[in-house]
Amino acid sequence: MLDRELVAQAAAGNPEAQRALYDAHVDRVYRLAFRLAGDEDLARDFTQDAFIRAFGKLGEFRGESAFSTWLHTIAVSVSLNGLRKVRRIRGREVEMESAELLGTTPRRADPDLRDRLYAAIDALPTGYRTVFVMHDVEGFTHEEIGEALGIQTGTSKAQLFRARARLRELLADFAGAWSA
Amino acid sequence: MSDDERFDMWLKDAAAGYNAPRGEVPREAMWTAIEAGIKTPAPVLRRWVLPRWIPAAAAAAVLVAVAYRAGVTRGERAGQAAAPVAATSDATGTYDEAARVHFERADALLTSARSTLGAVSELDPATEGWARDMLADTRLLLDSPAANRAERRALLEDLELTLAQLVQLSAAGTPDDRRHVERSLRGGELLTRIRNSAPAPVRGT
Repeated sequence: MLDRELVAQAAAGNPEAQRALYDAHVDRVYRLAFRLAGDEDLARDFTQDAFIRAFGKLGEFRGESAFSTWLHTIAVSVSLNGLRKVRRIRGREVEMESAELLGTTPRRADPDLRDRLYAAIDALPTGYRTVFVMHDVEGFTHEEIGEALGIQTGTSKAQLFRARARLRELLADFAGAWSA
Repeated sequence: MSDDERFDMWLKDAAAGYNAPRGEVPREAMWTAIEAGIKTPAPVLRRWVLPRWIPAAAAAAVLVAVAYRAGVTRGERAGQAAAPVAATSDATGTYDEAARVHFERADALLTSARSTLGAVSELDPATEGWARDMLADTRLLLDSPAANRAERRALLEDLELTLAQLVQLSAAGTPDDRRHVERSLRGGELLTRIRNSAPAPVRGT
């Protein structure tokens, strides 16, 4: 059955249609949430919240874009908002910890290139990181990213370019690794 | 091939493992929480006419208690001034606002406790104190007209149970207690329900 028919039935409250939509899209939503959150519990929370919100707003879906694009818009929004909240909580926890604990971060003192790359991706500004993860890691097109984030396709391309440039700068010590 | 192109190719390959999901997608567990969330949709806050029998003073007392605790907690932990909570003109709106503030704090606490419990066997004293405060406030709300709505009452009762288990973990928690609390928190159902049952903020707050 086409997404459009499933969406109409799900909007009418048909649980089988809701489950079918969920089955068709949950893997990609969960993967994206996991890539953005880097934590299984948060990825589950964000995926659940995204579907609950999507089912609650199905009546507003006009079919102007693909259902998957519309769903990813919600998933990205839920994930980024959730991450902001988690950062606030973690910031408060850090303030609660003693000064000695602040120096004992889990990152290794002498990380290898892959660890450095992951840390550099973590350190990207949210906009760059989101576009980079969606495009280079999860394989979304710039058109899909533009729709999901509410930005122009050109902006998505520019942010990806800047994200890669920033990563290259941060990994300058390892310049030979990709030339070999 | 230019150095830029080589870098881009290397980057795509090397970044493939960034925050890569491990294991299977927990489809059924997430669906259970989603079904629960769908069945308890976020209530739309309406502007009721003030029922005369509701004592406005009692409503204000509940709000002040919850908001005060939120403010004290935020102030103590973050060194910031408490966020002001504007008074509302009718008692029902006041209880809704008290519940909203309370669920927002419960969300923060449970999310924090869940990540803490993943790494250590018991809560640190500050989080335990926070959980005790939240437990007291939950009981206060359960005894107030804020719990008149069946859905909210059920959620407050579930929250009370989880908070009580959290507090007991530090005092005399057995491995079974710990597993039970972790299951409650990791199942995601309670957190999902909390996030989806909080009413929208009252206009003007």
